[in-house]
Amino acid sequence: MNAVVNAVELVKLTIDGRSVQVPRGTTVIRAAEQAGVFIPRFCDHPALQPVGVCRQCLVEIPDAGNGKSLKLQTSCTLEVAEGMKVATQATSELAAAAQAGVSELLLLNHPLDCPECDQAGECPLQNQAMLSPRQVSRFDGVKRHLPKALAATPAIMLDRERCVQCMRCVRFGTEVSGDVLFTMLGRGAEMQLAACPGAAGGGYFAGNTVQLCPVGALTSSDYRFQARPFELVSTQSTCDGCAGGCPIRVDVKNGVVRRRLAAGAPNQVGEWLCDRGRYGFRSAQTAERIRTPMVRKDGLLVQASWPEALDAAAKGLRGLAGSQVALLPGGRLTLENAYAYSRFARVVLRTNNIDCRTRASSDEETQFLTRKQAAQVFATAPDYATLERAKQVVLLCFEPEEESPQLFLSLRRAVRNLGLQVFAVAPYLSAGNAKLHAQLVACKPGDEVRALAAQGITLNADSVMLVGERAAISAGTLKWAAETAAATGAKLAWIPRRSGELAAIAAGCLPTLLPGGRLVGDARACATLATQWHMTTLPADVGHDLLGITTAARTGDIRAIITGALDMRDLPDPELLRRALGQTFVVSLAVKQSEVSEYADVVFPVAAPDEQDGTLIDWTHTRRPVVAAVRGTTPPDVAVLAALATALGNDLGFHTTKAALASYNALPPWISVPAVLPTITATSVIPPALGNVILSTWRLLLDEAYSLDGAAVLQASMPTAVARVSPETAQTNGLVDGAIAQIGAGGARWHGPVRVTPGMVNGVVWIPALTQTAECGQLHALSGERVILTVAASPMPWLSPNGPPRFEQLWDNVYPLRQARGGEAR
Amino acid sequence: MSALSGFWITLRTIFRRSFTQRYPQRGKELVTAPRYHGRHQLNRWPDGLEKCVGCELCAWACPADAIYIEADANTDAARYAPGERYARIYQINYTRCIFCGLCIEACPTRALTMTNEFKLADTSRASLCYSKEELLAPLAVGMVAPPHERLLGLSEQEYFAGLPPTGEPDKRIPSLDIPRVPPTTARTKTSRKRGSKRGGK
Repeated sequence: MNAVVNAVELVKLTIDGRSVQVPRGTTVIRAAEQAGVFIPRFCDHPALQPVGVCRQCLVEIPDAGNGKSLKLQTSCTLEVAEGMKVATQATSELAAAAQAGVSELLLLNHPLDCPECDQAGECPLQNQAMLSPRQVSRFDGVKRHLPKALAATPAIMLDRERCVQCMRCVRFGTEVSGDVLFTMLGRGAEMQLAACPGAAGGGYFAGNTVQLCPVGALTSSDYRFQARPFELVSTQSTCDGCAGGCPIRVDVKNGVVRRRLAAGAPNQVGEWLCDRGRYGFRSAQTAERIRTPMVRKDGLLVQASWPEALDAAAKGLRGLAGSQVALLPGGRLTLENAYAYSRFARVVLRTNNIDCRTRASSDEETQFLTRKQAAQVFATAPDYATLERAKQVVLLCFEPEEESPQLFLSLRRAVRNLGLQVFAVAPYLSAGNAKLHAQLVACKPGDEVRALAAQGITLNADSVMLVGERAAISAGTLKWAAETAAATGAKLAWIPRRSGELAAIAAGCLPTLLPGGRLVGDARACATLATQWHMTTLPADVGHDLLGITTAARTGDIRAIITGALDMRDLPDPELLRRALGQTFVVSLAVKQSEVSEYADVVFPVAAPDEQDGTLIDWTHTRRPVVAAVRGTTPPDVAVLAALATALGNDLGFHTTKAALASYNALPPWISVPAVLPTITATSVIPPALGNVILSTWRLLLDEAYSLDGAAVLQASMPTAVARVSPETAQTNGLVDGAIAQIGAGGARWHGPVRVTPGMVNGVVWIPALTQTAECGQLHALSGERVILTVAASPMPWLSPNGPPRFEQLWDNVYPLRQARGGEAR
Repeated sequence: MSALSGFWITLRTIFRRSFTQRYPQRGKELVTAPRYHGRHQLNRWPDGLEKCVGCELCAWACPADAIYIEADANTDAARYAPGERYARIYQINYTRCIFCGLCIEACPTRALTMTNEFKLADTSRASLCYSKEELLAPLAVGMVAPPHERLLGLSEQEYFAGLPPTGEPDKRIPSLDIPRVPPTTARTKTSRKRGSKRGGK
């Protein structure tokens, strides 16, 4: 790092008499910040290119470094020069007068509706106006009026009267997210901000423009009129939306979370936040929230006291052998909670039947993860900075924008600024990957490795492979990735979609793993852990994974299941788990009612993510702190499991998250010897079922996940579900763009409009998993399976491929300015 | 002589009516000073819409933290105030209020003023948390209880035109051209009697 700094040429200049040294190319406004001089600004933002449109940062330049003075300059666009002298508003009357003039100009048409505006109290324009020497405007005409807040996107309200034309939102769209949502129309006094038509749901990053807007022109419809800045209590925490580990600020009023904001420093990871992280916190505020324990009596779940529920759970679990119980903790737990599940399984229930992966998984993936965790390879995982040093990135079974949005933004930044080349191994070039200018390696699902080899793409130490969780069902992909990484020195990152899977793997929530990367059955490793846990022995047999647990439950070998947050729809075959839960004694630890509650015999309420302290492990294998923003009345999973252990006459060893983390940290480090590591063997290919095309599907960032319940703006932003096929496949099957397709597999039917996608691989149909299931029906088929694609018998008018007509209406509304002005008597 | 004049004052005062009153006098109390800081009132526009926009500046100004507000957005379907925003919940806790009047000074819309009502004694804490319904000014002649559309002009522009530079009280009469929403929850009582029917907070 020092070497880098030293290599940059430093320039010395004087700002308000203070001498400061900055690297060449720095703008004056940045240099002034370093000198401790604040120059007011609206358009300038450290992460966006300078444009100099708001004119608020005018400064006087008595000496431009060549002995000559310049006229007033915008300090955000002026680069520093050796020997330059800058006089800001603090020392120059000319600059102060110019800034006051600009401020007055900006306020000419700015409405004085601060009492109604959400930005009031945290508004740079308001602060600026209050600092202005002129507190009363000289303008006594009628202000320009435009229709008040319009819904620019489902999540954003646009109030053009308040806009100061700083273009931050416009530049964010082109420079950062790639979703062009806003543009400037007109010139001069008639310039106005407009939402682009066709910017359908608004993309996944639209919420950032609200946070960027220096005035109240863009406000959040989710946070609209919810609170005032002065009454909010803010907490720095970590987003649990995906494995990105983004820092967030959680704002609470009156014990209710009102909003989340990106909390990363400028030009650092987490400076931006995706909309899922920003708006996806309403789930715990819905009516389905569980607040008291419940026990099934005569077939009905009824409210019960804690002792009653603990007794009922203990009664159902007591006397069962280790092989007769299983735990499905789910993939959204903090490290502490996952560790509690892991220890509860081994110490209290004496079983290794535990699997955090409530999704399609495979033996190959279990071996891959076990090997990586046991050999402590995760500790040297690539991180965000690795992407900036890499020359090429290969995306294997991974859609960055859908599965890890922060990673997508990092990739896009590296692509734009550092010339990173991205290869997307996928059936078609998704919109997200197109924004990365990725080169498509078109392949059928399950054929990724062969397609990559056929393209002749060679990997080396400057390459990064980003492998998603869908690689589990693409036979041989994980094996190839691990071997290639070892052979070529390419970096390999495995990126799960859920926030808690890496923590759960570290905590040993896999049938093959114990906490800290110890292998089940490795006698030496078990011995160290048993000592730590005050046990004589630990269960030595490798447990069942999710599929094994459901199968064993159906045959009666497993008689009780403890579940955490579980969404049946995530599973490859939900019916299998439904039957398994129906036949067993089920204890559910849940934040809110879900389908699992219907099968649960005892339900314990647990704290929502915003209500508990904890630790998340992001995809770079960095620990990220989760801090309780609200003190709820429901305990974390740790406390419930500890109480249940006590009810079963055992001791979990801790009752609080803090103690659980201390217990985890106290485990001595362990690195397994290579001899005991499992070898990765490719799973056998899924047997081809009847069908004319191969299905490809993945979850989108915004879909009908339980964790997004109650987030109305996200539900409105969801992309319309379409079935994508290549032109040839469409022709072969008699489909045209916009026609309604029917996809059938195993008795289930999916209906949706066809979107013919050029460049897509032939013989494949892509549909989003778990989107608009209410209308489309859900298909229980995995990527790579054969399905039957036909034209739907009857057209379904409610499935319009063009989406809602809102944006056309908005476009009609764009030019009322001229009429409004014409109507006024001047 | 001067001694006598002193006695005269005493004698005169003995037969004068005493200024001090006994309390309670069941409505026979003398009127307070015109600018007495009594119970608050949330005022209305001449058509009955609320002047309060839920900006929370009063809550911010309050040194006793006696005011609690939850704002919400007006919609065309349910309009309580002429602008975008209104106070869905507005509570003043009179066990906390110190009647300093800073909230009145902070109010940007003249929605919050103080009345001369000073008889606020009650038997429970909950009953001293006044809700918005209790604080709202009674409906005067021509006013319709919200929610309803803007009866002084359909657009915000029309509604507010001419105000506030006139400096005169707003005496406009709601336009009869605009189809009216029938007053469903209109109140006629002008001074509210505090009693057991109160809804609490």
